[in-house]
Amino acid sequence: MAITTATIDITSTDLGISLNASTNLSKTGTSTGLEIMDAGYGEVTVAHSAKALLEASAVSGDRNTSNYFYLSNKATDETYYLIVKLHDTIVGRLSAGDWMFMPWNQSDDVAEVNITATNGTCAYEYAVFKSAYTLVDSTPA
Amino acid sequence: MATTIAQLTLTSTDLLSDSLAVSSVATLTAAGSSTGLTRTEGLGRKQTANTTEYTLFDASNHTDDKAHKIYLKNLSTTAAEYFIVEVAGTVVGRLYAGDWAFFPWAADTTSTNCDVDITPSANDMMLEYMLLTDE
Repeated sequence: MAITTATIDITSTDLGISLNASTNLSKTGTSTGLEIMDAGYGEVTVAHSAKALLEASAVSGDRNTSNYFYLSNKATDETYYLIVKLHDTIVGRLSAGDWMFMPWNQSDDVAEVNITATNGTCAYEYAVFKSAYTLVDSTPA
Repeated sequence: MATTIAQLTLTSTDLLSDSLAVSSVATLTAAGSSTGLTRTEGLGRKQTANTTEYTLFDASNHTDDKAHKIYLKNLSTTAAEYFIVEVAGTVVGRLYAGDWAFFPWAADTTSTNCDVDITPSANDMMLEYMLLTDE
């Protein structure tokens, strides 16, 4: 069993915040560590359509499970941001230099995570940790 | 101008054949600028009585498309207990016991009602939350 620890620290002397939270990422409803991971780095250019960053599993048994993803917008121009969507639903705008870490349900095969770059090309870094992800049969050409 | 730092660390020595060590540090700023976020709601805790859906953040109380950031933590210690987290009626994911999340929030009320809702999987669960914003 793998132990993967996710820790957040939020500090602001001006706002009076000193927050720390840490968790070991576990398989659905258990204390057994997650063992499936994917990660990468890329760039997304300004486009009218969203780009699929993470595709939800096509296998129904993989859905409604404990999965987490991390995404960081590596752009340095403060006016560039990523619009992060779950399929058609906007979650929020990830500004240049910001990161996010959130659960991902893979509710159905259209629960993909989409990103759209706005105002300029955004480099990004991501990682996803999954309880289950079943490979589908290949389709011969 | 307030300076607020959010740091993520992801570590594992046995998930892969090589050690995993990801660190990301963000200085949280207002939308499209380098000015620091100026306001927060929370840090707070909510006790949920039953397994009905609760609205945690009502988008109509906030300004669209600001640099809102939401922090959530499930304070349960029972591994099987989770909160279903929804944004604009779409299930984002399940936040299991002890787990936390940190994500941007559009608070959009123009094209959709972008409320953040939570549904606990059991009675009497506790959620920790905070909103950081530039509105």
